[in-house]
Amino acid sequence: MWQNWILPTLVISHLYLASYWVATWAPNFTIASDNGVFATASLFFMPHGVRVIAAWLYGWRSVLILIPGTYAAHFLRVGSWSMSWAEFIGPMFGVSCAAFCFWLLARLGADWRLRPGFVANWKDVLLAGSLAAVVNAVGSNLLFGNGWPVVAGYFFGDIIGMLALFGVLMLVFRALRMMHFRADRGEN
Amino acid sequence: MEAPKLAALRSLLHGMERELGLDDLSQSQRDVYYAASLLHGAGEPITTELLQTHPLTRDIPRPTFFRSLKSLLDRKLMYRSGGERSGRYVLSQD
Repeated sequence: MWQNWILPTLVISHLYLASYWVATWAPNFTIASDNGVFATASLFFMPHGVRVIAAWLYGWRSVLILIPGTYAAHFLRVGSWSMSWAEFIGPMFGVSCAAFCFWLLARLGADWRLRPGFVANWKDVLLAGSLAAVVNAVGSNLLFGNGWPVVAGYFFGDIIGMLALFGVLMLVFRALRMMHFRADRGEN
Repeated sequence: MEAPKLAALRSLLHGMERELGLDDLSQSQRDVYYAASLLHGAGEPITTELLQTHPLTRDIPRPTFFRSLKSLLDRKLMYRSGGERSGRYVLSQD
């Protein structure tokens, strides 16, 4: 239970919230709209990268793992747990789009999901994440009746955010590796 | 996040780092590492002998080859399998 659910949910939720905080910290990269809070499309939406990583690592299980972080982010954005039906359903596109795309690609013969003895190429994972960005952008905005500029904003925001998150994580892991390497060699 | 998942994520991102040319390995270190990866992918054992005769590495001067191999071991990109003198290696999951 701890290893399969609680720990992944804690780690992924915190990563989601941290990356969401970065997205809100860059307010200049948003498309403003008078169509409600969900009509705002961050053009630097790093949480999409978290969805993609979670879906790659955990498959359909990522949907449940992502829910706490996603709705906590909604609370941070709106300041209230109350939400309309559409506001409740909308984030579900986000949490399930990446798992759906990895599943769909696997059905089409390109199974890039993590499994014993197989680690996909990073480009394939990003490609699945890009497809998920299309599903999320079109699905979410059909639900809210937003126009194509917001759909495009969702799409580019998810792609840019995903690339940024992968880049940041790559540099963090590289820095950790270099730190261990230098420590092993006895350097300061 | 449990260790195997974290290791897989680090492996994925390390692949990204390598392919973007951001790792700090020399060309010979890279060739030895790629040769080891290809042997591993082909289900072959990673031995000193197979590494030295691999098309990617056979033109590397012998001292440079062993320096590169030692560097990869020091960086924990590869590990010895068996004893110090077994001449067999495994790739790190990192």
